[in-house]
Amino acid sequence: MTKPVDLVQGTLDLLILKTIALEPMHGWAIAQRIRQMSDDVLQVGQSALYPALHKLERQGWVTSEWRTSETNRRARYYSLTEAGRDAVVDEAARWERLSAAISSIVRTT
Amino acid sequence: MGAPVRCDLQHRAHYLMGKTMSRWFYGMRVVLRSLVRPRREEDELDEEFQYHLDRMIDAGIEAGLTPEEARRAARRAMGPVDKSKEECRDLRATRIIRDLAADLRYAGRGLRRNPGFSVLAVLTLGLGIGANAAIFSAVNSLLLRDPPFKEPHRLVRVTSVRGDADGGALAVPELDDLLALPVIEDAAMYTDQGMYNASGFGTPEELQATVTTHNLFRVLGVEPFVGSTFPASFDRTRSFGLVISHGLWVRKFGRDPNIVGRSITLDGASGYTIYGVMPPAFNFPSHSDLFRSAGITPDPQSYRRRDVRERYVLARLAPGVGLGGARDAIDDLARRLEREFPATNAGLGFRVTPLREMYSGQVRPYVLLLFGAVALVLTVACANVANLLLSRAIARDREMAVRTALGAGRWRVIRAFLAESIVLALGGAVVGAVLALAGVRVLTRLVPVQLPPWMQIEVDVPVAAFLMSVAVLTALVTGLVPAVRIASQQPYAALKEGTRGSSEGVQHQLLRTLLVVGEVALAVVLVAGASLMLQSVWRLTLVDRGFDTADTLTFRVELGWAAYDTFEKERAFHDRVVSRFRELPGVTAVTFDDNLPMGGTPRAPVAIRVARQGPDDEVRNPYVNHHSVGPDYFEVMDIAIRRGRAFDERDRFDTLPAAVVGQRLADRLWPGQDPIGQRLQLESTGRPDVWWTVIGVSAPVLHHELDGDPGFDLYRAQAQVGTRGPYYVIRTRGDPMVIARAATAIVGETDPNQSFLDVQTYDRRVANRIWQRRLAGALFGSFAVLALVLAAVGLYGVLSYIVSQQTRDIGVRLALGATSDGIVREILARGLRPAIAGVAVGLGLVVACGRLIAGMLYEVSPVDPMTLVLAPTFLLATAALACYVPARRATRVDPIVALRTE
Repeated sequence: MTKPVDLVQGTLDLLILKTIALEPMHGWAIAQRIRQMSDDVLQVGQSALYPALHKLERQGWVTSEWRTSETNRRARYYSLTEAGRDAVVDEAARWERLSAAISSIVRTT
Repeated sequence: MGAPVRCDLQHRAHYLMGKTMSRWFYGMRVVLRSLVRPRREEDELDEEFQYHLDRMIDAGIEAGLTPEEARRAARRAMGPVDKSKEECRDLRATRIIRDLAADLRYAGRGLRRNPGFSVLAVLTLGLGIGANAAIFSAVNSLLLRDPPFKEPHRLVRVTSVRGDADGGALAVPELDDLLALPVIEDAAMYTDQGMYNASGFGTPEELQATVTTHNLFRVLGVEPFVGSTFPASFDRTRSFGLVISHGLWVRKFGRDPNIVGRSITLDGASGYTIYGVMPPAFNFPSHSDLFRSAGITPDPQSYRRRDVRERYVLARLAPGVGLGGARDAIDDLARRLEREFPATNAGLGFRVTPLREMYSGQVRPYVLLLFGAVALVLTVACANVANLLLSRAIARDREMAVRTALGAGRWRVIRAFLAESIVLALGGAVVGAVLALAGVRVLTRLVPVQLPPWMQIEVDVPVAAFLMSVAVLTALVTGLVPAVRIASQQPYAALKEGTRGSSEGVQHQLLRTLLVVGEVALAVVLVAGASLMLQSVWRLTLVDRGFDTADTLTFRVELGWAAYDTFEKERAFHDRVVSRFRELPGVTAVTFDDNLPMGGTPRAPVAIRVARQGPDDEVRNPYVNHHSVGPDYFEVMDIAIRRGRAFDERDRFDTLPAAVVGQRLADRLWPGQDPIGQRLQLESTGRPDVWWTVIGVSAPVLHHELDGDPGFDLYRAQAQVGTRGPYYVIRTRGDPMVIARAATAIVGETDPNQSFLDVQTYDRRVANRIWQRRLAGALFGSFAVLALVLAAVGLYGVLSYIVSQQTRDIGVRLALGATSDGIVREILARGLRPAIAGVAVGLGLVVACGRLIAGMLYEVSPVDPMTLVLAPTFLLATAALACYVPARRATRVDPIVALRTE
């Protein structure tokens, strides 16, 4: 198992927003989904995940509610707000630009 | 599970508020949640992390670990959960609130340990806040509160102007002309001051009446409480319709539900019919008991006359019409009328005044001035407390440095200081609220005029809100100074400085000195302002008003026209009471005047027509104050007759109608000619068609305002023109109020149906004419004293602090042989330097801002040399006193003790 990649500051927000854009999810599921989607490259620990979720909620991009989870227990599910949906688009575009810029530099040198 | 509702809410939130707002809404929800149920929020945070851990354990078991191994592995993988939880908590409001509560508690404890400082600071802020709230309550009730009429901003009063004479009445056809203008939606015509003697039900009583057209209530937008108004036909035919006030209905009729249609007797004439009762709070124009229908005279011709101007107009502007537009249209009308009816309207203009100004116009500048002054007082108070806090902060530098060194954030340290000033400001708010309540009570007592109920000065919700905002502002301003200092400080500098044990850093001292300079400057401004205001009042009391008011009793009687329908009957009444007044002990002279100078109810000035005058000159005729006077009037009032003669026994109803004119009127009408023998007519008064011959010229008299010009006065003898509502003028030896009871009793004995009103000494009456200035002067004076004391305390504080910090230096110098005089001199100089700088800045401000109050001054220049010398001297003397005490103390330092203090 290769060492998990440290996430660039701010990209975690985008990953979270993108992940819950599909459906409301609880924190564990978000972490799992990010890991699966990135083929185990990106591993998000609770110490980064929950403060990020709470921050997004405080910013009004994400809202939460308690639901019964697939294991029949109560869990806090996060979903996007209208403002969050806009933010996903903006953040994604920003990321595309950033990564394109970085890769063009990486490739030329 | 409630999901549809939530969806709906989200939807609505989104649509109602737009994206930014909805984002804010979701964000605030988090804050609110943690504020409203912090315990549950905490539990949920635990549950969320527990869930994560449990799922991780489950995953481990699934991967083939034993439960025990899985648990351990999960714990390891999770890392320090408490730190994450703390990070989550930081994102919510609970943290801020909790910290704030802790800060406030800590601040409270700190302040309790220093009771002297705390009490001084709380009292200082309390004085500032309380004085501000009290004055704001006056601003609020006198200037801000709307009169209780429908859309009051559309209501205006229309009066006429001719020459220098303002506030004249209008003629009935002019009401029609106004009503025809599109800028005016509706207009009513009324008179303010009528008095009716109500007899036949209960004790005789003077009732204040307003004569009005039927639509006055409609114009104001107020429906009668019971019944209706009198019919429109009553406006221009002789009629006896009444609408009464709620107060009168309760007082005289015991809330009789069948009041409508009831017939009552006024002024001895029966047949007045009550049509309606107004609601309790209704008050227009000023405390009227009765509203009488406008049709008074039986002559239908009189309602078409343009030369009879007796009433004012209250108009409601059409929707969307501004004051400027209305003024333009009404000015146009005045010019058109001048062309069409030169005989009656030449030189006549109309003045349009917003209704609110009719009530508050005169007090407005004074109230605003006081508001400004009291704001300065608060600024001084804040500077003082900031200074005190700063001293404390400097004293606590080492504590704070240690805290910072131990890891307290800078923000945390700043918050500790802010918390302290918040606690002080809250204490100040409590003291201020008590002072404001007391202050408002004093204020209401100092206002000698009867304000309409909606202008009563009181502490209400807006005032309370103002008080709280001022307290919060105070907390921020006073807390900011020490906080800024902390923020700009090197954390370890304090520790170093502390260990050196020398005097405080130069920059701290500079800040404190600047605060003192500011305090002194503002105090100079207030002292100078008070000096100017009080000088104005003083000069006004010395003004030669043209008549003598010393030791004189005045009161008014209104004779009913039904019982006194001839001059002879009136004459008999006056003769009886005057001769009985003369018999009273101490009475030296008696007369009367129905338009008493500085009297409470001046009569509307009237237009005149002068014999052998061309139309061009007629245009310039001023309105005149017409007096109907009693025997020996000029002698008793001490108004000199400059030419011709005063009235005497020769002037009877059947002899030549005679008039005495004031000097100013004579100069205006007959410049360079002999006024004696000239003839003139007076419109709208008793005997309007008679030509009056001038028999004398009297010295000028200030009729209405002490700071105004003498009026255009014209006097006639009661015997020739009659008078129904005279003021009796009774001159006595010694205090005139002694005979007040006996004199008024005589009125009742002469005619049991008569009553009297407005009993006052003439001196008080004149003093009350400038009550706004007196009040402003008195309050300004007390604010100045307050600022002076505060500035002195500030100076004293700074200097005491310097002395206490330099105990060691002084000790060393004394030990080395310095004289105590030298040390006193040096410390005095250090204290007086900022005081002198403050005085200089203050004088600059006085000169720069003097213009603002020039309009409220009387014969005092805003850069009055006496004030410019007096205020600084006063300030410097106070400053010297405040500095002397700590300076003196410094010399008593025992060198040995001083060297040991550190």
